[in-house]
Amino acid sequence: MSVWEFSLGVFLGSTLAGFLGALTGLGGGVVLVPLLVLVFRVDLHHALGASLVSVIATSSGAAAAYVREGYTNLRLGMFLELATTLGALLGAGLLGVLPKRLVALVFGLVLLHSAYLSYQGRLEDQPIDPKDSDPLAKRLRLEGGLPSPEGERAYGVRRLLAGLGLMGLAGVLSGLLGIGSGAVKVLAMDRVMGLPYKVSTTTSNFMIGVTAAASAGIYLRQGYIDPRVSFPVMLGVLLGAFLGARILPRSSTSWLRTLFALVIAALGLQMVAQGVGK
Amino acid sequence: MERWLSWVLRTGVLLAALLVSVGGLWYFMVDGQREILLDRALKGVDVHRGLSPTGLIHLGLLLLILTPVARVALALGLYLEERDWTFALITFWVLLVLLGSLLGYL
Repeated sequence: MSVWEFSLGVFLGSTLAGFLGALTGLGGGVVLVPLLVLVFRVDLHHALGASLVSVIATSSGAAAAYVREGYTNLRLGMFLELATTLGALLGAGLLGVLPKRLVALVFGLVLLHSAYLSYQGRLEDQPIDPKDSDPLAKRLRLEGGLPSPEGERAYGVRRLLAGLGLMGLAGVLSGLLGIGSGAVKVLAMDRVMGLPYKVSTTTSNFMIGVTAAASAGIYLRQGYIDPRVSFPVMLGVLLGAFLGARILPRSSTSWLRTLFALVIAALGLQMVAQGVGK
Repeated sequence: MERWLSWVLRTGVLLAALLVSVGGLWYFMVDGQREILLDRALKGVDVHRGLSPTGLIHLGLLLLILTPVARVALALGLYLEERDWTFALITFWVLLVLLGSLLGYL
C-alpha cells in the first residue's frame, strides 16, 4: 500500500467514524481503533495513539461550542478532572506494561458494554433538588442551573465521592484504550450523581480533552503517536464530527443508534477474539 | 470565563489542524508514491523532530495536546483573579499533573 492509498483510506474511515460518533454521541474512538487494527493493520499501540489525538481534537472543538451554550458545569468538570487525570496517568502507564492481547481484550469488552448501553437507551431526567445536594458539593458550590425557556432551573449534585471514584476509572480506561471514555463519564454523572442528561454529556465532553492530554505525555514518550497514522485520523475525525454535529439537530437517530450499537458489538467481538486468540 | 475558555479551545484546535494539514500535504509531496512501512516500529522519540514533513505534523499534534493544558492554565488564572482559592488550588493541581506528564517528554 502506498502512502497515498493508506492515508486516503484512513482519512475516509476516520471521517465516517467521527460522523457516526457525533450522531450517536458515542465518540469516534470506539470504532476507530478496531478499524485501524483490523482493516489497516496498524500496530495496536499506534492505533491507540492516533485515537487519543483525535479524541482531544473533537472534544476540544465541541467543548468550544458547548461551553457557550451554558449547559456545561465548569466547576464540577474541573473538580472531577482531579480524578480523571490521575486515572489517565495510571492507564497510560499500564499500557506499556500489559501484553497487547490483554489490552485488545479489555477494549473489546468496553466496546460490548457501550453497545449495550447505547441499545438500552437512557432514563428520563429527574433533576435533584439543590437542597438535597451532597454536603461537599454544596461547600464547593458545584450545583448549577439548567437553561430552559422559563429561565434557569437549579439542580443539585448527589454522591459526589462515588462519582469522583468512577471518574478515576474512566481516566484509567481512557489512558489504557486511547478513547474518551465518555460513556463511563456520562454514566457517573447521569446515573450516579443525578445530573440532568444534557449537563452530563456536555460536562463529560469538557473533561475528555484534559483527561486525554494527561496520558498523551506518556504516549509521546513511548513513541505511540505516529504522525503518519495520526494526521489522516485527526483530520478525518474532526471533519466527520463537524458534519455530524451539523446534521444532528434535524435527524432522527434511533435507528442509527441501533445500527451503530450492532457495529460496535461486532467490532467488540472481533477485538475480544484477537485478545483470547493465539 | 465561558468566553475565554471557548476561545482558547477553538483557536488551539484550528491552529493545530492547520499545521497538521500543511505537514500532511508536504508529506504527500515528498513520500506520497512510496510504499508505507508501518511495521517499522518507532524507536526512540526523536524520529519526527525538526523541520521535516512528519516533524511539522508532530508539531501540530503537540499544539493540539497543549490546547486542553492551556485551557486549565487559563482557568487557574481566572480563579486566582476571582480569589476563589479552593478552585485555584484544584486547577493548579490538575495543571501540575498535566505538565508533569508532558515535561517527561519535552
